[in-house]
Amino acid sequence: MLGKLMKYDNRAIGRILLPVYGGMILLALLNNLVRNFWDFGTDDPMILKIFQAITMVAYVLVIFVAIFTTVFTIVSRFYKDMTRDEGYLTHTLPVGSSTLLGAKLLSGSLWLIVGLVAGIASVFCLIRPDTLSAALRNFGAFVHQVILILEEAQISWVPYLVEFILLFVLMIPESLLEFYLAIAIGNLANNHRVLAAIGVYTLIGIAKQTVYTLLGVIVERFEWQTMTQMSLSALTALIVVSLVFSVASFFVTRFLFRHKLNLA
Amino acid sequence: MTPILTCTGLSKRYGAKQALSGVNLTVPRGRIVGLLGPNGSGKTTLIKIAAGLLTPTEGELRVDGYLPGIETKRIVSYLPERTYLNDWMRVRDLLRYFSDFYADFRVDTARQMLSDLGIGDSMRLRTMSKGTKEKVQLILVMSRESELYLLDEPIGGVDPATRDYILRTIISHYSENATVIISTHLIADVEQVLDDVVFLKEGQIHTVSSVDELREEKGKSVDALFREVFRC
Repeated sequence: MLGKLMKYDNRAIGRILLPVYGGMILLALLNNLVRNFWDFGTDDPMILKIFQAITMVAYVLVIFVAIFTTVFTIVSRFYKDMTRDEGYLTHTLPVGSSTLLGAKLLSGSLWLIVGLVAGIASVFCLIRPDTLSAALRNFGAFVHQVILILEEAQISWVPYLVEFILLFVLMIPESLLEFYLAIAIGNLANNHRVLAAIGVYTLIGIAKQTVYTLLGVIVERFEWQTMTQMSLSALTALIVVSLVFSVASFFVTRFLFRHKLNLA
Repeated sequence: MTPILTCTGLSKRYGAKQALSGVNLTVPRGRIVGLLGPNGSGKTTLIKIAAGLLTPTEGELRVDGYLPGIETKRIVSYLPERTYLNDWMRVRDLLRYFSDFYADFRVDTARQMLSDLGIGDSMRLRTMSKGTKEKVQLILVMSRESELYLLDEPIGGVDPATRDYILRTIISHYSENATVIISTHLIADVEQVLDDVVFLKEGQIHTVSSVDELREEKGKSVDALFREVFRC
């Protein structure tokens, strides 16, 4: 059932986001073309510069539109499927609340990753094809240089990399669960549910910020032997907090949909 | 045989408003039951609890002996009083959706009924009129081979011709052992198809009877009795 739910979620989200990502990549390619190959049949450098500026501004705008549309589409799909009229179908399917929420979380996370990959791909589309391999080589050399510097300073970079990856992976579902929890709590209100959800989302943000600040104060109070030890412990603490928040959000949201469902 | 639906001391409160109060009810299998009452009498609340969309404040409701959950949702086909389908979907997407999630969905029956109405596979829900959307929704719900059909106001807000079509569809597409609960306040239109009636008044059971007994005892039609009981 999880796979089936995700299939329909992916279709509902993909029909909106895929054209946006396609547009973003096309604009990046157009930028590449305008900057490197296409002279519009004019020798006037001013006209060329204007065209280059227009396509670059359009590309940057599309990046912002893509970020906003990605988050908005995923969150509004959840809101509509779980709390609006479509909820009457969603919640009468022979599927448990955990599966419903799990499917939303997995498909939402998947689209955040697809959006990120599309964004990175569009950046690559800006690079001249004949300089692409050189650019990749330079990037490899840069990473190698950083590793050498870290090793010279006797800083082990592997734990950092592992912790950063772990934190990044956890942040994706955590960011969605923050929205889902706010919507579930906001849905308990009899009126102005969207407003209530926005209020709850703000409060969750403030609460998390307070926890992170406290965490910083606590980490500072310990007597660390090295900076590495301190920064790695701080990263571990962030991972633990993120994990605790994600698990708690999942179970509270599930409880609210299972026992306090309040469809309009 | 376990009754298809039982309510024991069922109550539901929304804040200060008492929607249902101490409802005790047993609905046998193989009947078409009219859940009748004026607006705000608790019909939709009772149906929503049976569909697993609301949890009672007190008491319990069981479907086929189970509390509402995954087991009951497998055997309950629910039609809400609003459009609950994703309007970007085409008819063929909806057929696939119901086939994917409901093992008892008869896709050929649904396709036949849609074709009878001239509704093509490629039609998008968004482009349909309100009446056509309601027909599509009813066809999907009645094309399941369920044990309990919960139809909340299936004929409210549609023209008389559509009303007839809906009632014909209900009668001809449920199996003998299945029970159909129809919630409505348009008694005259549904009276002809009902076996039993349940009158709900201010969240409480007022009358439970078979239509034949009611007519014999009171010498009145259900519609006339309804008007008498719920006179303002």
